[in-house]
Order: sequence, then structure tokens, then C-alpha cells
Amino acid sequence: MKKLLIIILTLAVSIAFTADIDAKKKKKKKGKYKVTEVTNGGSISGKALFAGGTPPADETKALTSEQSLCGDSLPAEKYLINGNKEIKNVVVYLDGIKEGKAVPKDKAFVDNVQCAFVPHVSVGYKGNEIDIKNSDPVFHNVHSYIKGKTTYNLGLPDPGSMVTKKMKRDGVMEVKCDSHPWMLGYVFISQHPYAVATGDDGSFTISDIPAGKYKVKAWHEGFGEIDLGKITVEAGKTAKVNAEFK
Amino acid sequence: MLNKNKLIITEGEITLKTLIVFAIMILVPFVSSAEMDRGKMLYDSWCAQCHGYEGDGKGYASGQYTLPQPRAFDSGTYKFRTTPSGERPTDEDIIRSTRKGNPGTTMPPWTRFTDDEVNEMVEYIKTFEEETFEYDAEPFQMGKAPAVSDALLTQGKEIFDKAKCWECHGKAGRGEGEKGWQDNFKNDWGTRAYPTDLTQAWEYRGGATVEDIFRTVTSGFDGTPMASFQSSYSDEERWSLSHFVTSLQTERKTGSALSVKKVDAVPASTDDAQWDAADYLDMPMSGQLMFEPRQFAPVITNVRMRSLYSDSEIGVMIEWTDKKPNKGDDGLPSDAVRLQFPVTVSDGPEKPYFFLGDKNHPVNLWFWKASDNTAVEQNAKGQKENDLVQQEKNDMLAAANYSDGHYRVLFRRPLDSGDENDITFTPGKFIPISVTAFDGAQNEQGLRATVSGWYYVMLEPPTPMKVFVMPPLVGLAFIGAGMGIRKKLKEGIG
Repeated sequence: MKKLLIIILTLAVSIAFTADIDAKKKKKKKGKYKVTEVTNGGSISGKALFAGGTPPADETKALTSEQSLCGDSLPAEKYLINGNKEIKNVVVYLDGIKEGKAVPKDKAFVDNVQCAFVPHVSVGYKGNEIDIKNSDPVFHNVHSYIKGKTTYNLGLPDPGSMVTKKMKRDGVMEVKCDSHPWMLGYVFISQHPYAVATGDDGSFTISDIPAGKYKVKAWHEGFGEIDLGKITVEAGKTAKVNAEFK
Repeated sequence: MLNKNKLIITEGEITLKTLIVFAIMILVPFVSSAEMDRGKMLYDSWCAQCHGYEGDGKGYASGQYTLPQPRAFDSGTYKFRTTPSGERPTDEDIIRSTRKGNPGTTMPPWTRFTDDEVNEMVEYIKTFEEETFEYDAEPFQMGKAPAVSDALLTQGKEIFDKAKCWECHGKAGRGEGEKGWQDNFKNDWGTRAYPTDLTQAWEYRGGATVEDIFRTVTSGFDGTPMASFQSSYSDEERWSLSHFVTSLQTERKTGSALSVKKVDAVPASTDDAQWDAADYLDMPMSGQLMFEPRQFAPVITNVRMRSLYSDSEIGVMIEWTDKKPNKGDDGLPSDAVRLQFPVTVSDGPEKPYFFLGDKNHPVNLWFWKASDNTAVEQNAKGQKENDLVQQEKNDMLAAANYSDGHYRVLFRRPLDSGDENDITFTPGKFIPISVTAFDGAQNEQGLRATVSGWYYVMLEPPTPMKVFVMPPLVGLAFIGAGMGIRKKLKEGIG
């Protein structure tokens, strides 16, 4: 009986240890996106809209230097909302999608033009490269952060100079310039291809989604992130959903 | 019997085997992490006081006690690397910081550990934020520094201008550039970032050799506004820039005394060429730690003293870096500097207490403030408020200049003011002097200050007249005697 007890105890302990190791391995692998061929996928489309009363006006940023080149102030480009209350620069994405089409190979791009980042908001894909350019005749340093942690800080002293970096981490990457405190832009780095930014008319379409049920979210630099609920995507069909901010 | 015995043996074997397996199961994880445990043990004993037990950079010796703040390892962001911006440091990078320390910070060079112990600590440090180390980084090749030449320095200066290094580090390289003083100039950890004074080699956090500078301009200092220039300029261009930066470094002359030369008249202006030609003494500064309010993290690390005297007057000029001047009109105290002398110079080694004197050894203070650009004379015999008195009769003349992140303050006074509360300067005598400096930006005033220890000034006694008269006389006598002998010989031959 003692023997049995010892054997059981040994087994229990060994299982506990292996389970612990497995858990650690799983934690590392969590969230890894798997590429599969998508045929006859469905789509999600809609608009980013302001659903409250009067939409907030865009902010103005005062320049503390380079006024001769860029003027005394610049629009923050934070709230770009047209007369139909359609919002530009909202990123709509499928949260936690496990598998689907391959990530586009396109590089992301950020330029320094007239003391502002162009584009102000864009979507990039993890693992891809990003070209960071300075088109201004003044020094800019592109200092980007994800969750407050520096991703890179690159000096771009000469007009036309460009640096190419790899986007190793996903998340909302803030782009700043230590030299010019008013400058701010964003690259939404997604690890899967199902993330898009809205244009001037606030519209978006996420396509080639394998049929299934997906959690959809929308992010905006001023309004923050909202949940659009679980949307069912049917093969060859388009599901409609709007991202309504208040 | 036999069977039974065998059975017992078998039972015993099973029990033994079970126990061994059981023991191994328990021990394996410990053995494999023994290295980590020693790393943790060493870290907790030697590093956690500043860097925090959780690696958050918030040990009990952080905060007001350090500037810059200890590295928060849980951020995964490392300043000193041989890898591109945003990448993990190599293990060697962390080892280098540990072994060499970071000049101008509270991180000393650690030599007490064996290589194995350092490696174990590095492994432990990396566990505070593991994601950073999941990505491989390709270290850049340092190569070999080219030999310095005029052409290289010229190219380096061009890049210093073109790369806009001066926008933060200042045209004179003292860290006085305007852009470095914008409100946003902070690091990832939320504290203010100060552009380095490139003239003071002892303040370069990543080291001040040409190799150190090359590494810094290539990698940048992640988590700070110091950007990477790896892609902007070629290796050759970055080497020339690095050489140029080393050429900005001032020669620090430390010692215990300054010999003061006699001149016809002590120059009244701080930019007189005679001052630049005068010998100088550098005095390392530290925070005043004996009395509240203390200064644990001083920014003024050095003051330079020059001095000249004439028949009637002495001039003492103090120079130091202040990246951003404060005149007392910005809600912060005014910048100021104070010289301290004993009222009576002892013939022995006895000196007043190093900071504001003591009851038996009062001090004479010369105090200049940027707010009104005047100097006054004071006396002190201790650190309490009423131990300090302002003199009614002022024998002091002051001139000051601030440019390119640099203060020059000149005090002038008669050698003997005739006031019994004043120091009297007698040539040939070693006179104790010390300096207290106040940086308004660091909220320094009153007892919160940056201080030097005691040094000496010695007014070189004038050369006695016979030094000038005797040698020509001896020479003339010699020539005369020679001529006489020649004449005698000539006569003899004739």
C-alpha cells in the first residue's frame, strides 16, 4: 500500500511539473497568427460615425520653433469628422483572429512633411518593414513608442533622408519627435491582415475573412477603443456594422 | 525463504527507485535554476537597493538620491548597447555597464564579482522583462577607430553642425542647446532628460573614449531623446564626428593648490585674454550632505578657478557649466556662487569646518548672485540662520558673464581691506579656499548647495631684485677679467 502511495505521489508531482512547463510554452505561443488559404471569404464593412450631438472640433497645436518653415500653428488632425459625422483615421480590426489570409507584404511609411507626420494614422503589419522619411529641410528625430516604451529613436538630419526598420512588435505605435513637441502620429501595428483605417468618408471594408464569428473592435486616437460586438461572417457575403463613437 | 527474501529485495529496490525518481523530480528544477538563484541572490544583495527588487528602478536608494534614475529593468529598455535603436542589448553590453559603471551617475564600476557571477546577474536581470530578449538583435561592428587628423576633425565638425547635435548639446557642446530644454524633453521613465555636457568627459554616461562616443551616436540612448544616427551617416562619418566630440573635452586639472601670478593690474573683465592665459585649478564638486536640506544629486560637477594679483588687488575667477541659467525670475532660486576663506589663516594645517565654518573658526564669504549680478561680503561661524551675517562695508567688485552654457564670475578685492573680518592675502602664504555653487534649476539655495572641499591659493612672491641684478654683474666681471688676461698675454707676447 505504501509503495502504491509513493508511486502515485511521484506521478502526481511529475505531472504537476510537466503541466507547469506546458503552461509556460503555451503562454509564449499564445496569439500566434496562422496563415491559411482563404477561398470564398466574407467581408465586414461599415462606417465610423460620431453618434453623439456636436462632434468635437479638431485641436490646434502651437509651434515653438520652425515657424518660418511651418507657420505658427498646425491642426492636430485628431478629430477629422466631416459634415455627415463620418470619422477619418479610425482603425477597425478583428480582435484575436487566429487564422486567415497572409499579411500583405507592403511596407509601412511615415514621412515628416511641414513639421507633421504624414500619414497621421496608418496601419502596419507586424514583421514587415517601415520606411521613415524626412522631407523637411530641418532636423527631425522619429521617436516611436508602444505602450510608452521606445520602439526606436532615429535621427533624420538631412532632407530626404530615410531609415528602414522592422516592426517587431504589435500594438498602437505612437510616433513623436523630441525636437518638435507638437508632432504626433500613429501606426497601428497588427499581427494579422484584418485591420484597416477609415478614409475621409469614414468607410471601411475588411475582406477575405474565413466564415465564422469574430470580435470586432475600433480604435481612434481621441475617442479610444470601442467594442463592436461579435459579428458573424458568412462565405461570400458582407456583414454590415458601424463603429459609433460618442 | 529465498523467494520471500527476493521479494523483500525487490520491494526495497522499488522503494529506493521511487525515492530516487521522486528526489530527481524535485531537484531538477532547482538544479537548472541554481544559476538563476545565485544571480538573484547577488542582484538582491548588490543591485536591488537602487534598481529595485522587482527591477522597477525604484529601490530605496533611488528617487532624490540619484540623477539620472537607476535603470528600470522591467521596462526592457536599455541605453548602452552595441545594437540598433530599439533592439535588445547583447549580454556583453550589460556586462560592460556593470564592469565599467556609468560616469556621472551613481552606478560604480563593479570589480568585486567574478565573470561567472556577472553572467549570472545578467541572466537574472533579463528575467524582469523577457519579451525584449525574445527577439534577436544584430550588433553593429565597431571596427577600429581611424587615426585622428585635422581633416577628420573638420569633417566631424561639419557633421556636428549638419546632424544638428548642437540643437540639444549646444554650439559649445555644454548641453545648453535650446531644444534640450523643451518641456517634452523627458525619458521613457518620465524624468527630465539633460543633454550631456560634451566638454566634461567625466559626465559621459556611456564613457568618453572615441569608441564610446561612436557606439553612442550609432545606437542612440534608447528611452531618451538621444537618437540613433546609424542609418543617417556612414561609419567613417560617425568616426569623424566621434573624434570631433572628443576634441571638445576640456583638460581637467585637479590638485590641491593654485599658484597665483602677479600682474601689473588685475583685469576687470571676465573675457580679458590674461584670464585665458592664467593657470587654472579644477575642483570636483559634490552635494552638501551634512545639513537639511541636502543635495544628493548635484548637477554642477566641477568648478574651475583662476586667479591673478597685483600690488594692491586680488582677482579670483570661477567658471562652471550651467546648461540653463536662472536669474530668480522663473519661480526658481537664482544661480549663485560663493567663495569661502578662513578669516584668519592658521600657520598650521588647521582650517574652519568645510561648510560655513564653525564657532572657533569663522569664515569670510564672497557671494555673487545672478539675480542682481553683484557680490557681497559675508561672515559665517556655523550653519544656523543667524550664524551668517552680511558685512556693512563692501570691498568687493564683481563682473560676470554667461554665454554658451558657461558662467564666468570674477571677484576683485584689495589684498588687505583693512577689515578685521576679512581675509588678508599675503604673498608666499598658502591660503585655504573653497567654493559653494548654487544651481537655481536644481532648487539650490541656502544650505541646499553644491560644495568643494578646501583647496589653497598661493600668491607667488615677487622675484627678489638681486635675481635680475646679480647675473649680469657676474657676467660683466667675467668678461672684464677675460679682457684683462687677454691684454696681459698680448703685452707678454709683444
